Amino acid sequence: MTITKYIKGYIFYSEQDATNAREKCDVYFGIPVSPEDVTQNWCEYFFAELQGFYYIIFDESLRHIFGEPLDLEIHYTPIVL
Amino acid sequence: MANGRLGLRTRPGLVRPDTEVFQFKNFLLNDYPAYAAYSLRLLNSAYTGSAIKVRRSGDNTEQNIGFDAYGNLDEVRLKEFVGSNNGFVTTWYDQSGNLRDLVQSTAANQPQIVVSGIVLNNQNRVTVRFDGTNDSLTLSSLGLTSEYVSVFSVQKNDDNGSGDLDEIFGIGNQSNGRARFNAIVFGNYLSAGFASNLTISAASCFQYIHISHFDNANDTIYGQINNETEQNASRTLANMSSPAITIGSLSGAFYKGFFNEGIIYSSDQRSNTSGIISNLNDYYKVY
Repeated sequence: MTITKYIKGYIFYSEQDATNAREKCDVYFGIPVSPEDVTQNWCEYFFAELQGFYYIIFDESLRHIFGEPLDLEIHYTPIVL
Repeated sequence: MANGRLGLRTRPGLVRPDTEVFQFKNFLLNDYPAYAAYSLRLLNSAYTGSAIKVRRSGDNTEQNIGFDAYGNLDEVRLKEFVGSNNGFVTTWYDQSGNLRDLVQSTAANQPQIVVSGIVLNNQNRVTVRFDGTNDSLTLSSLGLTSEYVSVFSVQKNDDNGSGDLDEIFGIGNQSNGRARFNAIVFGNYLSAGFASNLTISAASCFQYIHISHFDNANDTIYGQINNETEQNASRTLANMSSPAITIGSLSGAFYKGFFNEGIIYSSDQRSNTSGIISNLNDYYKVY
């Protein structure tokens, strides 16, 4: 069974691009403030396994960096006991 | 008074007889030691650590927040630190003494506890909000190997019509199957995985105590809401020896709602259920 989740976000077609995008956010927001902090990144990217791309879920804070988000359909297979 | 604290708290601007008397009667973990325990109240009289670590928006600095003299989260300290900003939980410390802390190192995925200087509150108790989009707290090496697991939580779902209402507790990982705990979904079932097996009474959208017992050896699950009748069903259970625990997400789905407290036992606690939920209800006044 596949479930589709509808979200707003940004797509990246390689992990390197996703990593670069995450680092761009970290620099913009000054994360981490200290190396000892728990918070080490501003945002996280995910891999859409069934579709083969990476994505970052939209947050209002990201609009300044990446612009308007896309409407994404993410398909995933839920774990069923 | 054994195992307890007694105190007076006066509402600002009011004097007796409007003074509220708070009697912090029992430390839950003193009577029922747990495998892992997360709360915004003090659960263990021997615990000297903080409740949570909070990141504030604005400058993104972090600070530990402990408990006040009554065993509640130290709201004064929390407000002082966060000010008029937003506050997010980066770490929820384990009060069991087993150092099984839950963390979230990504700012956007941290659940919220202060909104524009206002501490989130549900029925007069501070609470943590998961946004249903990407919020979660995780421990990647729980190391739970027991055949029997009991989980108690106090939570309040945001709504009852969304697919986002999924697991609040998940133990395990995706490669070897993940046990779903304390997961009220809108259909009034224990969890999506158990939907066809086990029906419990309506609880969505209200704060409630959720109890789950998993008997791996006998492939049986037991579910209960508040002090209502326990239900059970046969079910082949997932591998309990898997390594992670997460509050707020599982398998691409995210929980949307409030979470106050979660206690995990690696032993059969069915005979103690009455005592444990009595302790929870004394504090949270759920039913």
